[in-house]
Amino acid sequence: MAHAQAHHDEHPTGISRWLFTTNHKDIGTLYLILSLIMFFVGGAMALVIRAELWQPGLQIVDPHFFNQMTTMHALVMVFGVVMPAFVGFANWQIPMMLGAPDMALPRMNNWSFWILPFAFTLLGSTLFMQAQGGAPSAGWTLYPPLSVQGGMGTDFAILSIHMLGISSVLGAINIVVTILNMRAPGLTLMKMPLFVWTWLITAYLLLAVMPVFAGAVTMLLTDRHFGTHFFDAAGGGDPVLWQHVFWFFGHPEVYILILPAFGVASQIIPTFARKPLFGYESMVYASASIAFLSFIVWAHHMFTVGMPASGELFFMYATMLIAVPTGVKVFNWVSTMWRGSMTFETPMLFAVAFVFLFTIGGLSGLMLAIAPADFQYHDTYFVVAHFHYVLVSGAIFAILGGTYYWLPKWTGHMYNETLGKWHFWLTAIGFNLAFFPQHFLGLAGMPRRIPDYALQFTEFNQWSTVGAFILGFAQLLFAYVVWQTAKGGQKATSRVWEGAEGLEWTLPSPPPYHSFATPPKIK
Amino acid sequence: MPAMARTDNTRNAALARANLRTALILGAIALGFFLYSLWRGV
Repeated sequence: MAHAQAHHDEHPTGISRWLFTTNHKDIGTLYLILSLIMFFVGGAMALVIRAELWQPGLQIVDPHFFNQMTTMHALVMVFGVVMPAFVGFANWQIPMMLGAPDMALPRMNNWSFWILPFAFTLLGSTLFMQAQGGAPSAGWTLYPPLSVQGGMGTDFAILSIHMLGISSVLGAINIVVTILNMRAPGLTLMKMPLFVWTWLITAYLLLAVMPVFAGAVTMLLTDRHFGTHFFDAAGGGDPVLWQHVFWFFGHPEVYILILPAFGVASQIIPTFARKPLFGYESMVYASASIAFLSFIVWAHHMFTVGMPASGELFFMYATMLIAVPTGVKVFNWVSTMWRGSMTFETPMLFAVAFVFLFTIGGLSGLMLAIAPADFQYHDTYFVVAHFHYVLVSGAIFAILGGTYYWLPKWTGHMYNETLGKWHFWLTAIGFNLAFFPQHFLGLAGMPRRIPDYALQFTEFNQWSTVGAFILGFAQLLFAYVVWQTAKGGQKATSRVWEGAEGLEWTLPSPPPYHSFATPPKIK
Repeated sequence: MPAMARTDNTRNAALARANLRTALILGAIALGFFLYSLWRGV
């Protein structure tokens, strides 16, 4: 056995290990490193935005570059940070949670990852082409006519989005096939950890909507260069068609970003409450309901575009329905904590903050869902505040919490708990300081995506900028903690956390290069 | 497909075939969505 184990740990060294790897753990690490790098790239763009908004008037950047920053910040954070981070988690955790030796299609897994650095190089290179119009600047939603008129940055973005889409679809196929075909004998679907369930549902969402986005940007490309008029009213097309097709992708995309976060929270909370997850089955059905509903709410992003009242009503009520399964989840997390033997290590701090702050984002989402009220909120900072509560204190907090939770398993070392707690509190305080005042700015009428604003908005903007810089620089501490843990430190046990349950915790920390070559038996 | 009985996943031809089959079906669905969205646009 010792000999077999040693044989199983053989792998190429140096750069070829990472370029040609088909190992799910290596590929998971690559995704997570890429995500961390892009986190700082996207974060730096956010700080350019916030620095410019420190006071009214134009100080640091010109308006065109400001628009490039808002567009690129969103594209980088959505496609370069949150999605790769969760795919990294999926690569590391899903095979170990299922008792499988690897992902179902390991070579395709390598390709899914290695498309990404090239796609982001393509996208990022546009920042160095300012003479040709620079980076895309029509907002990440790429609405025509702006996106049809823009410089060649938009063409680079379109090709980059095609590559990201191919990567996502291949990754999603791999995850679905792994979960359906590679479970250890006896591990039925309803015995799977919730993180696996949420990823199964997310992968189906990806399969359904990434091709639609690819279709939309293909039409944009042909409008720009090949004489079609899909989105050009002068040629018989309709710019509103873009909005419908984009948001048919865009709204499920929001759930692609948040469902795996639900999965991470559902792993962390039972561990540190030392109780099984409350309402496991209802969690599964709630996730599936949210995924289904995400397909029939897209036009709530475009209430002000001019729709029949029946359309506004349908999308308003359908959107409000999402509060039901989401509420089920929040109550289940709270019930899991109820009377648990709770301790508050860094992953649990992030998970509790996730439940509390994500719920604030959900509630402001309900406010936005009310069609007549949305006419006031639309395109204001209220919307910016809302989706940052969903995506930062939702998705990003789950990524940070999940990293602290699984890092000892991946590296074999415990992270520095004191630094972890410092990171959490600086992140939580910086985040709320940055984004809570934006609710007030939006309600007072400050439009989003502008580099200048009326004088009366100054004070809240300054609070927001101070918060954003605290939030941004706190992440350097996170990078340091991760680097320190990867390098060494106190040895982690197999189980790592007293309350941890599941197959991955039966493996040593770090797990062998090839784990579960022989599948475990599940009772 | 239920979890397959196996002793060594890394050398299981039946499992590899099943994986490929599932992947091709899912790939075809994704391609279908892409072509359908283009067709709707036209």
